[in-house]
Amino acid sequence: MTRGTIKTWYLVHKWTSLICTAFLLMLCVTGLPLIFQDEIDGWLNPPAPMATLPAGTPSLSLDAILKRAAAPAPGDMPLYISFDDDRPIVYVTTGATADVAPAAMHFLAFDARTGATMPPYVPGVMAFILELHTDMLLGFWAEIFLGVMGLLFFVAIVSGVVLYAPFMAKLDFGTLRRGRSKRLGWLDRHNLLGIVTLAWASVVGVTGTINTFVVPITNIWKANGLAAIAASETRTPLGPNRASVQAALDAVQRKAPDMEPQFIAFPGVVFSSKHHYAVFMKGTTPMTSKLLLPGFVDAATGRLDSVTPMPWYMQAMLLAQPLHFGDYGGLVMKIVWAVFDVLTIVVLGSGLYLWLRRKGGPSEQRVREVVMAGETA
Amino acid sequence: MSHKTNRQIFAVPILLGVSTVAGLGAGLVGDGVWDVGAGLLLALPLVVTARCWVLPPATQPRRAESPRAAQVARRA
Repeated sequence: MTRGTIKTWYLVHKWTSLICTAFLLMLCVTGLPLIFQDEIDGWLNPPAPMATLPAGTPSLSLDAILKRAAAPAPGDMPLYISFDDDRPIVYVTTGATADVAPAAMHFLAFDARTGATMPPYVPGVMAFILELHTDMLLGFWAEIFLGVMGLLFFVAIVSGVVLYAPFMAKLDFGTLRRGRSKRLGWLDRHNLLGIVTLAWASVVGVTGTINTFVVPITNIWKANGLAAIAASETRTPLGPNRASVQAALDAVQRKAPDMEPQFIAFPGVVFSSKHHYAVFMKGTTPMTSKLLLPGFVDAATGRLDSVTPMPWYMQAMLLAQPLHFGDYGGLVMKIVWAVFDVLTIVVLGSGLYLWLRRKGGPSEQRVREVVMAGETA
Repeated sequence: MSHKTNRQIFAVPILLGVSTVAGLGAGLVGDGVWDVGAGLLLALPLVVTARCWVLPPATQPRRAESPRAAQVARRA
């Protein structure tokens, strides 16, 4: 590698890092408690006790559940039904219109077997931290901005790996020179921690960036796949009398007998067309549980129109979520995730320290530092 | 001191990277034994890091130097 090449990569590393470091530090710090979101939420807000019924007690029809959901919020229409992962609980989201803002929606929870009202989900401190992590409470463009910071972080990782080669030309892997200058010590640690967290940080950075594009990617899917399903023929206008939701779920379940329902989107909401119940089924392994299979049932006639796997870009987006949050492999994985997160904080912090404590002089000085493995004194 | 080849420089990092990616994948495939495997594969880079981090300060650089020093001494 010529000195000119090294200088170019050094400048790429310096500038991409400097721009994204403050935001990445925020993401790492808020991300740390989010790894243990389920545990912390369960501890702060213990799940409400449920009636003990014999195993195999059948669930009520979803239509009966919807009748109960209509009582507390008259004038609302159902927007979503979703199913608890672990317990027989059905969640119903209602709103005055199909396109109402999430803040104006009503959330209800029912025991699926008895129809008894359960305490609804209350967004707690973890939901706040998640919002902070997602968009710093500043909305859509802030989320896209953080996605761009994630891309810069990935470029910083790649350029760091390129610089690692000349730096390590005369050093053994894992060399930490001690008893020398403090800056040299941190230069070695920055290189070691940077190279061992490389794969993890790349995966979490890139999947995090993908997650910030949820809204645009979903809109592409709606404009293509969904529109084709909805426009395939003329529709009976949707009146007040709708087809049975339970029958819609049963029809889709028959097409995907090995899967479980995850949620049902009602006509007009983000995840459905204007005419359909969209029934989203999920698999039973950590991976297939994220790869949703939607079935579309005409909400006027009750006819099953399509059960089509999502396009690749939706699948990739859905798969990016567990890979970003590390919540799919049990407690051991969460602990490992947390250690990687802390090490990434050290890499970011040491990088900043190395830059602040750089000796004066032009960037040629930094290039010398790279090729001489820091032995420039 | 001789220059290392890229292969020598990146042998351990690539091994640790493959271990990380395999761990991330194994966790997605299934629960139970897959999760245990995922945890072990993901922990390997951390164990290697810890090993480098806690090596006694004095021995580490010298250990790298000493065989060469011995060679030089023998030739002299």
